[in-house]
Amino acid sequence: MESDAKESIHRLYETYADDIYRYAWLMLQDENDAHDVVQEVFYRAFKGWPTFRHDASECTWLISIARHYIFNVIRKRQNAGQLLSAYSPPQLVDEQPDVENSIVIEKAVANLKENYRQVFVLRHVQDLSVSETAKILGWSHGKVRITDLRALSKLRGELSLGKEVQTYDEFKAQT
Amino acid sequence: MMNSRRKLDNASNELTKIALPPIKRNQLWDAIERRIDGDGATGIQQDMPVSEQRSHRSTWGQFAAAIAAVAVLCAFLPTLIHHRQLWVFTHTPAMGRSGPHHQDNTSRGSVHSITIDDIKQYYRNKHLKILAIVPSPAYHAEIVESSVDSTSANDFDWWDMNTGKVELLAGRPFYMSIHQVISANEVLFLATGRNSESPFVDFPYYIDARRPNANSPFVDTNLQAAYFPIQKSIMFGDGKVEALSHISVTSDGVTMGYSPIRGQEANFAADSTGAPKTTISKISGKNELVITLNNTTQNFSQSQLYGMRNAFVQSITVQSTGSDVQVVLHLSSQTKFYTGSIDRQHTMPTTTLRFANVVPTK
Repeated sequence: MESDAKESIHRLYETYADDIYRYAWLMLQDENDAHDVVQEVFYRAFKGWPTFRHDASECTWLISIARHYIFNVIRKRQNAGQLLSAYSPPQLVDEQPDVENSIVIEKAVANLKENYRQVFVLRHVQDLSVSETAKILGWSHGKVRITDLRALSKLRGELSLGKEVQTYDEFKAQT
Repeated sequence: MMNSRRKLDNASNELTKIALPPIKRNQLWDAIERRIDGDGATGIQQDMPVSEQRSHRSTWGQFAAAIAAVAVLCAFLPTLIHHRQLWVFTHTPAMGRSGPHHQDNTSRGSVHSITIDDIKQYYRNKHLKILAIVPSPAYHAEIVESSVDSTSANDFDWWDMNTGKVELLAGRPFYMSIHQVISANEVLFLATGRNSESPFVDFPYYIDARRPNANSPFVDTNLQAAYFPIQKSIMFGDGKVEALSHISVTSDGVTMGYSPIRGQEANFAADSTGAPKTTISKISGKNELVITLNNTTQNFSQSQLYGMRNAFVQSITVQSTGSDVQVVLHLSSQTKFYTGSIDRQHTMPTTTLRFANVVPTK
């Protein structure tokens, strides 16, 4: 029974380890912490495997676990007065990554406030649906959409890519 | 507009390229596998991530960390802060009180008594806010409660007014208040159950700060169960949504176990679930203790409750009221005090209430 669970978790690890790492890295901006998150999420998934009822997709479930763990890490950092200053670029899968461009983008994402960052990463980097994002964050669909709109506007401003504020029609057309 | 949208899409695509390096990927799986296998073999978690080692899953874990921190602090500060150690007012002119416990510490340098103004100046210099100065005249000491910021629990320092020596009694991450100054070497605090490093809210408990002698730092910090009269209402828990799935009795207590409700399994797997928000109150005129579990459902058979009793609890009934569950303990006449604890060490959290007819001594 336990070996079945381990096999399942290994399969999940092979499939989703990069997704969890990416999410953790973008939320925490620290490679070591992101590695910790990956390790912890799949270990906790193993522990929670018997209670996982497959109501949500496996990816949604794993990101939910990651989100709770990351939240605790952020809370502890805030208590410890730790700043997101120790920046080291993460590993990219491209052979010759555009490091300079990546750093600009990642810093812009890091500058988003936590709620915006959560939604942006889940919706546009992890490519989850509004419904899946709402389930992970425990929010309504409307709140996800509006926060996403604000995050995109803010990010656009950060990247100096266009106007700061977007109309709701433009946002809807985009999504 | 289209151009900026395309650039933003490109930015998102750029971020999707973030991935684990292959070697690190294998190393992490090896570590996960060792922890899984370690669980199966010994029940002991191995290869804990560094951040998890720092995390505090329970009050008792935090306590151990606090002891270690205090011990290390106390052991090393004297050597780090030159030979004057923690004598912070060695050059302060003699002024103010000099009680019968005055010690001549000439062998450790010139030491003088201090005043309240000196203490205030000390905290001002450190940009700390003094919240209270509690006199302990029997020991010629003052206990100062100070705050770094509003998001952290307060610190408590013991000031020897004869010598100007200050020692950290206890503090972060526990939210607490002074309960009793037992001696110059022992102070008892009542912790609220809140903790600045954890979202969990525990049943209130005592923190006993001790030192072996008056020249030593307070190196010994113990958590102790706090017993309250059954008339006293207590609140704790974390406001989570979960199900009451289990009730059992011990010789002097009652244990309630919780399980995830449908759709909330991930919270449990992430160890982010403690006890539901709980209010304990005694019904006036009746010998009944009502435990209200907010946002909780029932997930067990009422027939389990049949015949459940011990020396302090005669019977138990459970009822749902709106989104809450009420567990009613019908107490025996000898039930006078109670205490509580939350166990989050296992997959399913539990709350245990224990009863007594007299407050147990240490």
